[in-house]
Amino acid sequence: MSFSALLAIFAVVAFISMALYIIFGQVTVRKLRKNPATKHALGIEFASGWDIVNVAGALALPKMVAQKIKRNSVSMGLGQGFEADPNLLYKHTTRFDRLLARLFYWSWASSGFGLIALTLAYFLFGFGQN
Amino acid sequence: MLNRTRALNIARSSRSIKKLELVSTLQAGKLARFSKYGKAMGTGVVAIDFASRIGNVQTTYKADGNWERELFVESSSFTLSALAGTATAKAGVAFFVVATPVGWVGLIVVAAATALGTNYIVKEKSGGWYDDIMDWVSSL
Repeated sequence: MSFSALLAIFAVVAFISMALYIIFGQVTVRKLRKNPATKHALGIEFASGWDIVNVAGALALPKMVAQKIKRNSVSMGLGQGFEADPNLLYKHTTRFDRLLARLFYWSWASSGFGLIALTLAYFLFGFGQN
Repeated sequence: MLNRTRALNIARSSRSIKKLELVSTLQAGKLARFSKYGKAMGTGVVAIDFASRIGNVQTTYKADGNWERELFVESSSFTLSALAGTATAKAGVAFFVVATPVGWVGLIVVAAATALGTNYIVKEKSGGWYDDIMDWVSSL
């Protein structure tokens, strides 16, 4: 398969994940932002909308992994508010929210890492350079 | 800000800074400043980038070029480079690069470089995608 075709596949997945990002943000994260119980448990917001990715990660990764990430961030001295709190978010989300989180997060992560890998392959190893 | 409760309430209702409940105040200050700069700079950079992309499309249009193709190239490279940059930053944070000597600055530089690199390759390849899609559409 050519480099261009491989890149196009990741591009299609990326576009789907962008659509899911908007949907997940509007359906689930909006609700969590309004809820006083979860309002402050959505993780840090470096740029507007960053908390959407935090929440998706907390709900989409296996619970053990999400909890470990949260614990590690606290023990690194980054504070309670740095990562989203998976335990609290599980209590305040429905199965549908979590399904949406998983769909978004994994399409986002796979296309993101695909793009990073192809960028590295292009510049470091010269794949796809004509 | 003489009233403490009021100050606390204001801090609590803001969506950006309050989320940092850090152990050391020094670190809290650093992070809060970083997060502020990040927001302001991020928006500024995106605005400049966006304007230059629109400019490219308009130049192509004025030169009687294939401006739809240019629009496709610019918008897809914008989206994909943003996604790659975000993924890099998020991965860096998750693997605690920030706590190593590489630190925040290194992470930002790497994320920006990834975004630029992705932008470059997508710009190079997406014109071909557009042509393929158009060929396919016209063959229907």
